[in-house]
Amino acid sequence: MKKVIPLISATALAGLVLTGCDAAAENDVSDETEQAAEGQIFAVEDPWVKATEESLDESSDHSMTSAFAHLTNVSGKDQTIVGASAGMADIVELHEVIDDGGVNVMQEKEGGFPVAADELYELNPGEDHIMLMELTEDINPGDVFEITLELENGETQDIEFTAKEFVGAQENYGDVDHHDDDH
Amino acid sequence: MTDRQDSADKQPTRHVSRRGLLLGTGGFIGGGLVGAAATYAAAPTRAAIAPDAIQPAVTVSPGIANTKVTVSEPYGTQKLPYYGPRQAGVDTPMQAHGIFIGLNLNADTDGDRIAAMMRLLTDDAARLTQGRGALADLDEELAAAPARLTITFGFGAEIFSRTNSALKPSWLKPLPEYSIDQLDPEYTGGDLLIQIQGDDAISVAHARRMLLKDARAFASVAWTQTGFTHARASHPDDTTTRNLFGQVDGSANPTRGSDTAERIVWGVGAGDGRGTKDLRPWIENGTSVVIRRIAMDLDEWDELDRLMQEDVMGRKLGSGAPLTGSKEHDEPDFDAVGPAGFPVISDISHIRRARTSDSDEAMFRRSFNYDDPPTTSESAVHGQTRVSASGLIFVAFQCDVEQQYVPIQNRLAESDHLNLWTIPIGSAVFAIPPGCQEGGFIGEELFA
Repeated sequence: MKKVIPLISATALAGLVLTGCDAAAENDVSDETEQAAEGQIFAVEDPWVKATEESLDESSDHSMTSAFAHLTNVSGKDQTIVGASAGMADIVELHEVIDDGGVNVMQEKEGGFPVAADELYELNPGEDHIMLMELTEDINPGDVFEITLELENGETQDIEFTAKEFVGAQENYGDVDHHDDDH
Repeated sequence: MTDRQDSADKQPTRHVSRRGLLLGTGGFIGGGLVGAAATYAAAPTRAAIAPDAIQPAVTVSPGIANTKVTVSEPYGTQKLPYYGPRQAGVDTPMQAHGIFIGLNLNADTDGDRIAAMMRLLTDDAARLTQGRGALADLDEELAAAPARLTITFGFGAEIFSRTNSALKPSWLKPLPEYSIDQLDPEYTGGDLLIQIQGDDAISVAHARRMLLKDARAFASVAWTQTGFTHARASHPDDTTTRNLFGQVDGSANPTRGSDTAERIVWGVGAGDGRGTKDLRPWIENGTSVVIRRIAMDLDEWDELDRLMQEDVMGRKLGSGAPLTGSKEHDEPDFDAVGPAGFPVISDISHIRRARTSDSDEAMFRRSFNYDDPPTTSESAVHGQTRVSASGLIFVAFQCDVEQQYVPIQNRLAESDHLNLWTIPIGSAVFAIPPGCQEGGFIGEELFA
């Protein structure tokens, strides 16, 4: 479900400011940890989802897209993300991109995304990401979408992802069932 | 007073006269090119310091890819605050490079989409000006040296029409048509202004690309103007810049942060108390900008000798002082007459025509030079090959275009000697909305 809300959440921004251009600043996990909100499992940096406007990218498929973020486990214990759900997609999967004989292909990641305590887990184009399929609405640039991460221990965390126009993140499907002829 | 000799100006360097330079080299007097080349000698006011000691190398991390980039501090790392009641890039320090982009909204960009666009652009600006890549930036290293980067947004009438027409300022429309104008649609109008300025051309270019990538789903580029001033550190900070006629350009600007600037730019307070206008900002911490592209005919300007060039302006080329003064910021004496009984500052000189007794008829200028190659169709002047197609991206901020800017422009268009060598070829007016706080976005007041 599309929500019109401010682009930058306070939590996400807290990490950004600290890792900005300050001369001595390091992208230090402990900084983000300090900034994490009470009861949060992950401190979240730069959550975004690829927009699907056909006019911008003819190779994009309205029926699917992908979402990315940098997640730092601030819960104090090891976690595993085993699934996700979102109002704007009927199917949400956790994907990885593997090198299949010189061709990058994406496939569902077995066992989900394991994130040890205090570790940073990166969801990037061309790497692990959240795959959204059978979309129920357009993902327009600048709109904000909520995606819920589901953990092995049954807990969840809602994260707001901003839609950005992006022409990359065009990995192939290894699974023939999802084969995309455009690539 | 008709003394034409340049005197020391406010800059903290020792004044070296041309005569002194020539004599000082000995043996090269009248030596032409060799003599001239050999006489450039800096006279430092203090002991030399190695550049690395002034600008130490520091390592920064410009984004989530967490790469390390080495930049110089402070000129590379210096950031101007982004969040605040007012947008930066108005009466903040002048940088070396400026890009001005006018965009037209797509037909289907409605109020909701305008808000989405401004949320994206605000986020880009907030990050890039603080030395960080944009969201989903694949090349965040290009943002590592913000170097006083500012990104400023302005709204044309169409933005108000599609969101909140009650807030549209009455002066937000094209300037009156002037007989001196030869406006090119390529540099005129626009629904949205993106002004990008900074001391580092790479971070400015990267900001342009990131902003336009996010804008293109909502709007198309109508025009782009790219300009420059002096490199930072080639002159002391806050030196009034020169245009390509060699003129010191912007001497009459109110001092940043002064009572006068508060009133002239932001419509706050009484200024110097000598204004007569009813100045009210269109919104608190909002202002306006006029951007005029002024073609300057350098090839014709060359036909004037220096004294004539100074008469056209009413100021000395060297110091920028009025012809009746010795320092840039001396008050011009418009009553002074020379030995032949003519005014020292000519009746049609630029500074006399621009001058007014109403101190509210004023603006804060922030102009950049452009220097394009000449096109073949205009490649000759008086039988000589044209070598320049240069000019000024004239940028003026003021609280109220109609009450403050237009009266001055009217007088200049009617009679300004400088008009013989300058042609306005582009013109645009925008309302500058207030700044915003974290979590907000530029223009949010239109959606309140």
